[in-house]
Amino acid sequence: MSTATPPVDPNLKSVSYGLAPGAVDDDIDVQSEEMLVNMGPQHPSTHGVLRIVLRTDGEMVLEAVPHLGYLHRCKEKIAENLAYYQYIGYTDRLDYLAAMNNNHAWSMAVEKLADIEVPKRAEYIRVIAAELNRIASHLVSFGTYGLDMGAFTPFLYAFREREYILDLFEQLCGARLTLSYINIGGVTWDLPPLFLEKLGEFLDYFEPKIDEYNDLLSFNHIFIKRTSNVGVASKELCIKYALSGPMIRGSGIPLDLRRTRPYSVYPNLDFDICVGEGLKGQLGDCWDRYWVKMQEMKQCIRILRQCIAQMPSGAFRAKLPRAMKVPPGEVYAEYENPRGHLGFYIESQGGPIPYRVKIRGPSFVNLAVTGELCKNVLLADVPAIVGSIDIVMGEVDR
Amino acid sequence: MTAREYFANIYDNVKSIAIGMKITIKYCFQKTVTVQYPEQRLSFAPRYRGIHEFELDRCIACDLCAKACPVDCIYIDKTAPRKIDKKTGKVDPKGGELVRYAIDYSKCLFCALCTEPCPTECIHMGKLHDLSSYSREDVVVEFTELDKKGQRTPIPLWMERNADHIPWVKEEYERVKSGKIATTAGDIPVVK
Ligand code: SF4
Ligand code: SF4
Repeated sequence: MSTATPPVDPNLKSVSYGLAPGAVDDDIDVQSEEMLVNMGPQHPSTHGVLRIVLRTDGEMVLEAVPHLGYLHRCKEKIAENLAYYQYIGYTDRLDYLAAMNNNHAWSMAVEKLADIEVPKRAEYIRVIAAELNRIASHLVSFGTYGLDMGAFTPFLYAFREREYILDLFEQLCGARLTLSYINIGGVTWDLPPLFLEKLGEFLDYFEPKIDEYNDLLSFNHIFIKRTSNVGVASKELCIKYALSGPMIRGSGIPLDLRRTRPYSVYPNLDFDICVGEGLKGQLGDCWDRYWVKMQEMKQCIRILRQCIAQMPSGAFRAKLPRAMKVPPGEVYAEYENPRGHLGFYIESQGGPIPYRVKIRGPSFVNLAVTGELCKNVLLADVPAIVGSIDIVMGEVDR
Repeated sequence: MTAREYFANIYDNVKSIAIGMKITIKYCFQKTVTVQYPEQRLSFAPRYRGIHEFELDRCIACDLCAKACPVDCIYIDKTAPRKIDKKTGKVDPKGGELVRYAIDYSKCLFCALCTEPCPTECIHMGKLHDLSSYSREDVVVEFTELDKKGQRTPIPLWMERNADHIPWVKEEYERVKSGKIATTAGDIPVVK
């Protein structure tokens, strides 16, 4: 009767989880005590639909491989069929927590390509919008990181303050998350009346809250125990993986495009670049990365105060023809997103639509280091490490 | 771990919990920041971008809004070009007919790009945000059909059900029913 047994599908064995050679063999459970564990895509502490395959030995994680693509929406291909101004709505949905920054980056790239001069007032409004969104994004990052570490309260507090910022955005452009406000040649609408006053009020209200967060979470002993000396990224590793944003600054490298390759009106503004100092453990651990974000919020407040003081009058948008023609050529524009370097590469062959668009997403590049950081750590450290990388899946998968 | 470290650790933990408790207890005695939707609601900003309001009697069926839309979710059918009658400010009834004007809200991005090029400013973003429905077909809003009922914007399902016991819903419901427009001229400044 042996012929009656169905033949083993030869393809079955070649299902690879992308682990190191030897990691997958058919009788793995018998030979060793290693086990493959799927974390995600519906795990509460993976931010979005990220799946991480873990090779575990008891409580130890020997290897972690992130798997992507659950949120792929062909963003780059869509750009090839849309006029430059129409794509702005799509950039909102890349890194949905920092829509203003994405709008700004895209507009900057197109302006560089078409050689458009942006009025001074528009630049200041853009910086205000971008820095406000940076605060909002860091607040979400701070809140959810607390949530990952088992602290629920900071999350609610962070969202309470974020609500204030979203209200300001609603005044500004009528949307709260998918903003589409910064536009090619300037911004779509001028500041509403009394906006700067309301912004000033918010900053006065918000500044002491950061110290409160620090008391609540940053210097909480349990939180420090969970995050310090965990997921240490050395300077060499950061450079090797081309990390950017709070990831690389947390390791002590002061790389911030707002300073190193200034754009917009950042040269006129005075602010510090926050780097990790290894205050609570080794340099470049999860706590350092988290601390960089908390410090950056204070710097954002400084920038916003200066913008309010320096706000010039004038036009808020350059005069452009509706069907804007862009000369042939290619351009790469880099931008400091809350999560790192956001780059847009555009190739134009003339006409109203781009020929090819490539997006360099900071979360995507930062996520690549997960495998390196999650080697030989405890299972409970994996959420701490992934949370500190601060990814937004909308932008990783695009 | 020495006994000294062990107790220092416990002391640190208790201390940080006490600091945290101090902050959270302070908020126990403050005003709540949340509202009980739908009984209460937050007000919308003047520029709020909600479900469109469409004034059919001023639309000249020029297709500019449909061309500006990044997701092609505006469907327009017409018999012939329409013209604005200078005297009344409305469309000349002798011109063509706008057979269908529909927006597919399963695709719409609420980007307001369609409102920018409109020569007669007859499409603008409204103040309702909660359009839900039981089927996919219902998500496509036929504005021509609504206009026959005298409405400029669709009525959300839940609004009909709750109009009789929540005051603000009743107000909104009657406004939409009577075809009044929420957006005022100063709300979203026109980009030209
Ligand atoms: S709001 Fe944007 S997506 Fe929606 S119909 Fe108008 S142009 Fe199209
Ligand atoms: S742009 Fe205005 S007038 Fe032209 S079809 Fe659209 S709604 Fe009608």
